[in-house]
Amino acid sequence: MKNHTLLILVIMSLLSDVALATGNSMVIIANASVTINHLSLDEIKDIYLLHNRQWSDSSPIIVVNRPSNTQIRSRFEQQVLGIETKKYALHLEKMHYQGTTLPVIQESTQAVIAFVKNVPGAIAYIEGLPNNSQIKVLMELK
Amino acid sequence: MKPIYRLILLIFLVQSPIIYADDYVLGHGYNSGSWNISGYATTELNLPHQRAANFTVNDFSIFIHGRVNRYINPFFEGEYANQTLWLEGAGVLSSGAGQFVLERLYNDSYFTDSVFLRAGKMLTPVGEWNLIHAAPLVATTIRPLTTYLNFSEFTSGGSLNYVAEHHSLLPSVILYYQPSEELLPKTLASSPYRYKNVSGLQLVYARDLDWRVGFSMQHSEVINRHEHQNLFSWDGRYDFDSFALEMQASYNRIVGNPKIRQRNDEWGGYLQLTVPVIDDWSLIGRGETFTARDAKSSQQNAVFAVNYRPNAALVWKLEYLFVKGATTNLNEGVYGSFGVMF
Repeated sequence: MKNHTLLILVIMSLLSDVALATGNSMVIIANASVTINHLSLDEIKDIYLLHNRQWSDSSPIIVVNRPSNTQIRSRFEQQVLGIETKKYALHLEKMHYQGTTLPVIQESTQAVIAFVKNVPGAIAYIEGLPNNSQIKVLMELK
Repeated sequence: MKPIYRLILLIFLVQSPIIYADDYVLGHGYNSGSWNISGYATTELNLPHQRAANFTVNDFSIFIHGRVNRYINPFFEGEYANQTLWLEGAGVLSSGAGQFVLERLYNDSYFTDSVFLRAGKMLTPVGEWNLIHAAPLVATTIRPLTTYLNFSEFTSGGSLNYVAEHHSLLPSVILYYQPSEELLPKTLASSPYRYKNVSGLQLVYARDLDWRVGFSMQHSEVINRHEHQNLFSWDGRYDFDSFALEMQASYNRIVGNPKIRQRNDEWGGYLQLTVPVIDDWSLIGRGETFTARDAKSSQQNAVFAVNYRPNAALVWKLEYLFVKGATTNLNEGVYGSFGVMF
């Protein structure tokens, strides 16, 4: 009985995180430990091109990406980075060869939210507003 | 386990900022905690007109990268290179073993988010090609002479790096110095010049991924030739739509021991255009001229290539190399390769 209750609580917790994570707006989210409250488009671009690897307090930026064949990643590349998919993918390979840590790939919105919630310094993009106090919204794009 | 090793292990684990693992993605390597292990492999089928045809594993490279804290970010790359699997007239596995090469072994220490010190053996920042020379990342199997022939490709010492902010008017800057000889250099057969007292500077202006302009200079002593040289190099890349235009040109002034060479001025340059065709296919055309210090005349070469890149980490290349003039390192013929980052 105890186990069932725990399982239900975990499922409810996950659902509550993603319940509002729907809709058409794309939001840039970060772990609550990140000390800034807003990023400009250029700053987001710098982070996702891996040109900026540290937050202003010198803690590492943990960049989260979605797989390259997903709709939301294409939308992010087009709307935020302004770079076509193949060009961005090759750029990441080049940065990786030069010793730069690549973005962490997460397969689903739930996984992204769980990752950002739990990993200090994490930044990601999702569709819709998250409903979690451990996550802050740095920008909303319509 | 001895207490001191336990303590080191504990400090290491505590210092590791994040322990996570994500799914494997081709070309991104395997993550374990703050460490990433990756690599690349290239096989080549070379059919030069005036030399024996061969099928070669021309790089099996492993690199390991750690991100421990601000001051400890080690990087290692070692490769097994030039293993001929088949040689025309000699057969399969008849031409000996390849070579183990230490490509990179360094640590990065960050003072600020844009200034860091690199110490160890690293790729020398002259042009862009030398910094990303892994076969799956570049357009052709044949490498332009301008991108490697007349400078120290590796630096064993230190470099101070400034990474310019986005849209900054300032360039990114790298200052580097190698006081002695290269750490574990390649054999003289594959890299005939030995350098020491290498110092240099690179300035790079770049806008997103659209364009890049770089200037590099390097002073060095070529110890096995008793020469000193001052190299100046300019490189650029401009991407428009899906087309890409890139170039590098260099001028090298050599002094000391003049009897062993044909000239005191060495220069070269290439211009390359990449044109997308359909889906994952692209065509590449490149022209280069190079006047080497020991050659009586210049060499002109041109490459026409077709690339099939179904994934950013994986590429098939087929090309024809035309050569005219001096035979400086390149031989006319057909070259094909397959490269993959893993």
